[in-house]
Amino acid sequence: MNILHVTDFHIAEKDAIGEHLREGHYQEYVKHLKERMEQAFPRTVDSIVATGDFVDRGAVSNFPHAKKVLLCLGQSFGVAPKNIVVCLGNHDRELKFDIGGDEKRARRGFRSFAKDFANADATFVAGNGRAQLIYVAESYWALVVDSTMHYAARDRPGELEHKEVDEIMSSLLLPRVRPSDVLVVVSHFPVVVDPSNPVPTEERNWRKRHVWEAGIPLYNRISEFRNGTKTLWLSGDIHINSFQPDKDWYFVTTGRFGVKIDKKRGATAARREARVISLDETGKVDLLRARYEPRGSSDTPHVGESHWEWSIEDVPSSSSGAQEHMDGVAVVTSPKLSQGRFTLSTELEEMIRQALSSEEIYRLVRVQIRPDKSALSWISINRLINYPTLMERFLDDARKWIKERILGSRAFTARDGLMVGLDAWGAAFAGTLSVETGIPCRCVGARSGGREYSIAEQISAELVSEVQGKRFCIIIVDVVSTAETVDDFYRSIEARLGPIVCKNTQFFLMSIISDRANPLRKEIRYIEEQVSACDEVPCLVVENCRLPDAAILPAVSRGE
Amino acid sequence: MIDPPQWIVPAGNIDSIRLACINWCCNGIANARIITSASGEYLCDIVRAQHGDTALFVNCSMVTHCLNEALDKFAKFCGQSKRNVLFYNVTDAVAKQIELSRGDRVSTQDDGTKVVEWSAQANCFRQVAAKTSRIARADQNFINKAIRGCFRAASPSKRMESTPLLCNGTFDAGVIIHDAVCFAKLMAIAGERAAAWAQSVSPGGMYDVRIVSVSMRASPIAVTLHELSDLGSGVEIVDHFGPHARWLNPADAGLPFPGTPYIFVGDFLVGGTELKLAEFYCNLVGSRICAAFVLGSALAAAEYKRPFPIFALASLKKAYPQHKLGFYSI
Repeated sequence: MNILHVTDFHIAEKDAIGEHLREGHYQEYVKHLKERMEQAFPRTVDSIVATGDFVDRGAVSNFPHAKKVLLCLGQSFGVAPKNIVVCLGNHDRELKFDIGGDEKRARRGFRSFAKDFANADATFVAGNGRAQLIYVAESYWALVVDSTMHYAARDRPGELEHKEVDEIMSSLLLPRVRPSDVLVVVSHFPVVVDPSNPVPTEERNWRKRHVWEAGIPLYNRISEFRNGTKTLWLSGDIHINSFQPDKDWYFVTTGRFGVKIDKKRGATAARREARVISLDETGKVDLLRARYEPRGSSDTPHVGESHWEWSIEDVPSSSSGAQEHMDGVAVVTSPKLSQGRFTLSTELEEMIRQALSSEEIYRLVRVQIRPDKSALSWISINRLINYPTLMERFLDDARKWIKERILGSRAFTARDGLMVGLDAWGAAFAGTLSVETGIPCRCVGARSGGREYSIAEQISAELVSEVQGKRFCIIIVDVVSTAETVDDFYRSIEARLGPIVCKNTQFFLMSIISDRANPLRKEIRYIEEQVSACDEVPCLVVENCRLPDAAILPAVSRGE
Repeated sequence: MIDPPQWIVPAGNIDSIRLACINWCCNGIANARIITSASGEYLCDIVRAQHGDTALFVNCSMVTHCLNEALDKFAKFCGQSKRNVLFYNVTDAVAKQIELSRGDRVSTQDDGTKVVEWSAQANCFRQVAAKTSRIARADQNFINKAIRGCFRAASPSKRMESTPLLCNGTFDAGVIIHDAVCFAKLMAIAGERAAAWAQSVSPGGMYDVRIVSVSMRASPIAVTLHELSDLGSGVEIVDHFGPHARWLNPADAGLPFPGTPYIFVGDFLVGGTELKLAEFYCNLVGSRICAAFVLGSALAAAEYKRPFPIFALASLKKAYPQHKLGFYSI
């Protein structure tokens, strides 16, 4: 997971010459950043987090321009708007309304701007817009917190009431985020900054004006909830790059991405920044910072009078104190990225592996399973499930998993959810488990997009509408190899509900057999958690174009 | 967990429940034949949910074991609240445990089944047979109502997907499966009837048969019936073997039990296409069908002219008299 962090655009005059992000220049600015980043970091960026102050001093008329900049950034880095997370900064409010007590109206411009990004999908909202929980990617959540609320002044962070913390925890984090998921907390004002960082001495009460101490109770509660899993907190505002590890947290602020134009002094010469925070699959965390600063002999303080360029900083932190921590970061296990799949129990998995090796359950065949794909191996679920006590064991483990992992730890009730059994075996298990868990059940013929089933067995409007009203949906199927059947099912639902509404429902996937490493496997990021009785069973599936003609390799069934 | 009151089937001035459903709900289907302390506690919740002092008849059919002290809490609760509870269709082993929990009267009915009474007053359970017959009628009403709820009207009448018959609607078993309580109750009744048939054919238990179903919506019924009634030594689901689909899993065919007869389990039998497909499958693997169980059938069993008995929980005509069938012509 690679997150590009940018903050503090401060667009005051979108045509001002001193403004890097000005109309007619921002594309080059972004393009050069991308080029330098690509040289140093030739991997894709999965998500962009922008931590506020998109406009300067409430100049909300500049939001359309800020949107263009952010979309350009996304396009350059190949990040879709739905993977760009934004949060509100203190400059993004129309202060006059805030002073008048109309917090909602004060944020109207920003909210309209945010609708074009991942925040639009953040239907999990708490505290009158105080916080939004966004499901950015598989097992990756962003909690966006407005750190400016309840204080009607431009120059300092807002307040946070305990009941709001309760609401964020109880209605957003606890029901949806597993402690082991990647969680990025996003707020404009930082709650913690690296104490060794130099702060502007000319600014009185700097800490009060820039550090959101009111956010500490939220930090404490999230720490308890995460129970040792690393969590990232991204912020802006201070215009200083800061990295502060603290127990299980990494607090990161990045320098500003745009220019803050002072009417008297013009544009300031302080360098611009962007940062990539990389959490890779092997569990390593790394930071990479790009700086944009003046070069050459005429190092004047004024933008536009000097040659500026992007460079990549080898040492990603500015302070030596933080650097010590940074060395440690590279070997710290990241919040989990690949643990979103589980087996039901070791005993059951061993039983299945034993069955697969001892009975004629796993066979070589050639069966066309989709118009473009054929299976070269076949697991007979009929034979597998009739292996002594296996079905009883599977149903028992599945029941316990649902009760513990879904109804227990996520505080869902049975009526909050729906169980969908795909095809015959999925339907058989879902029907039985429905009685044991109280979760209503539907049976759907989904294989080959349902074309092989009667109309009454396919996805109905009734089913779609039922999914819409549910907080979770457990899909049960016998084998997940390329995951196309599951994907077909989800896409059909999504096509009718729309991606935003579909995201209101958390999807879980349960199977007897899963082939996680299948090279043709569909990416099923929308699945919250996948569990199987036996994982990593290779299911040989090839594209038909890779197979010889039937005259050379005939279709073989029944393992002859 | 399902709300306890939903399990009660009222039958006049008595309430009835099926213990197999309670065990299934509390312990999982693999342990639906066993009374555990979780079942006992759930029974307490059910009695609490009853109105007034209505007597509770607990049908113990298909329940074969009771763990030590599993019903002690329930017995104590019933004693304190002066509730009258009668357990019927009780096996010897279960009767002994129930008796141990409270030390009440065990008696044998005319049909040879045992009942155990927990009564606050003397002679409160007279004419048990008449009352269980009333419960059986209430069960039948429940089945008919559930099947009526499955009917999806088609206007104008249209040709059925699998059979050249014209009908004014179809029965969708998915509606029953969607309602966990309804599904469990129906399956418990079906299991009881299937087990009774098996007992009549083979008193020592019927394990040398296998269960087969050939459609998606019949598969939960097949698996459940197999697990609940201990019928057969295995279950096979042929997915997807018609009516208009290709058979995708030929490698599944012919489990290594040549000659073992099959019991067909289906949802609704109208023209009989599904049954014939199943027969074809069984013949293909060198076997035959020895009986068929379905939720409802449009015709009387004899009208299907199959060489094996067909048992239906309800006649579709009786459950939903408005259901009309005719021949489809081009």
